Amino acid sequence: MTGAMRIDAASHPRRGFHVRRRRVGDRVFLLFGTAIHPLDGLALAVWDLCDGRTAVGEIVLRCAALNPALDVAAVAQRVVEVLSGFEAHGLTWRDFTGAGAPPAPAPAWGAVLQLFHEHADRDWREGVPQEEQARIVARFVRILYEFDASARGHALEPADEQAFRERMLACARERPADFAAAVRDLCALRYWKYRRDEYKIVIVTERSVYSGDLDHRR
Amino acid sequence: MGAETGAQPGWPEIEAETGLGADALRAGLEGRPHLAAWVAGSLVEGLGTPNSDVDVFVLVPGHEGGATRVNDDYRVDVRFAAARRVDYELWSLDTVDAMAAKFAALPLEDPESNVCDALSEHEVLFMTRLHLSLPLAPRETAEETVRALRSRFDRDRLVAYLVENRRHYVDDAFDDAVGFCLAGDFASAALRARDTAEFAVDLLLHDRGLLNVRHKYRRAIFDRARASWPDLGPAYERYWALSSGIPATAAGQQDFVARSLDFVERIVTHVQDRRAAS
Repeated sequence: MTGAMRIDAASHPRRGFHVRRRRVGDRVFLLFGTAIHPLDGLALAVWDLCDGRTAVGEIVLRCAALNPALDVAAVAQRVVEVLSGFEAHGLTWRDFTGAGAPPAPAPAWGAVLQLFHEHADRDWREGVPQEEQARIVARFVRILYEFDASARGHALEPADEQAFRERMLACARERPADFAAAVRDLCALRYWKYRRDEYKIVIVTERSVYSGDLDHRR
Repeated sequence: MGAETGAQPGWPEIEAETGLGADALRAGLEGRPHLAAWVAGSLVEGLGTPNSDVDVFVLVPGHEGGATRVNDDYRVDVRFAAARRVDYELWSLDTVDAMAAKFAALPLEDPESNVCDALSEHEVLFMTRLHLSLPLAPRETAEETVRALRSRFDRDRLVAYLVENRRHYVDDAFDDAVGFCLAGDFASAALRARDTAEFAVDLLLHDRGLLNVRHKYRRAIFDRARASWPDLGPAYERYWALSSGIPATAAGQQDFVARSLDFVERIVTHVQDRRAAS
């Protein structure tokens, strides 16, 4: 899988749901239809990190940490080659409906953020660039997940977080009237606010006040 | 050996539940030559309902005598006692010997071979229920006799077969779901993706050593498994979130397919990596 093309370091590659990752003995392959693509250790690490949330730059850093014998520039070059190969072979995210984009996050979260905003009568999105709005929603949901996992005694874990998100979205879809109450009950939520000047999100519950950077990896 | 996880019913519980104890069930064997018998099925596994029948497996020297139903591998003699249906499943020694030989020859974990459905559903059920059973006859030596019979169908090997077989089911259903997407039929893709997720849960549970993962007992079996292995909690919750409905639009159905197949991939990767590590 070679042949590098231009890859944006800030992009978040996402593996295609239509691709199977299978192990046979010590070897791992990607399968799509009748095509079989063997993966070496680095390509496997890249594939596993193509979750749609991890930026290429971070993929490089994580792969470099796994390959301390290589310098970062060499790892970066290999990562770009591997990602280019995924792209060229149609292994990254594909929209089969022809609508053009991956499914957007459910609008339910935006509405809930409005409902629990410190100033519920003022649009929380006002003056906030769209990309920053998306980060606020993502961080808000992540914090709720942390409350939920803590209440259930679960360790923070990607699969658990995914299950939480799906459970909440299923609730929003099927019982929209209960969704706000379900969110509130996760942590006895009172209200939240965004301190744009400090790039912080603050969540006030009946029992505690959470304050944290919008992007905890910043 | 009854329930695989959780409380394990014994004879006192079976008798309290059904009104039928070991002696009453042995009475149904009178007049029929037999080498061994064991009681199996949902009641023995703690999965029964008031409507559950009692399944008695009987190893017979040959097929003499009448039966209510005749299948390729075995015959069933249906009786009624204490307002319960009791199925005496009669398996001949020749059939069981042939099955043991076939089982021993399965080319498991051989990348050049495909064992998908190498055993019939009846054969798998026979082996599963043999392991998850209460020995019944001969009265004095039932335990040893059934233990000897179980050793001919090694449990670890049976689990390995079930895991490998289910992985084939997962892969076939996965390819179907993607094929429906390629054809633009997202409703069929979503339905097949749901099947794929079910097969993946079967795989996950078999990988933990469970023999019986039948769908009709999904709730109880997955509940118990989660209680025994707390690390299954996220998969459990994600499974129920996925089971809650297929959207009506093509974009929603594709999203459902994507979420289902992601769930499947996480399970398969987990199982394959776990087995490779062991």
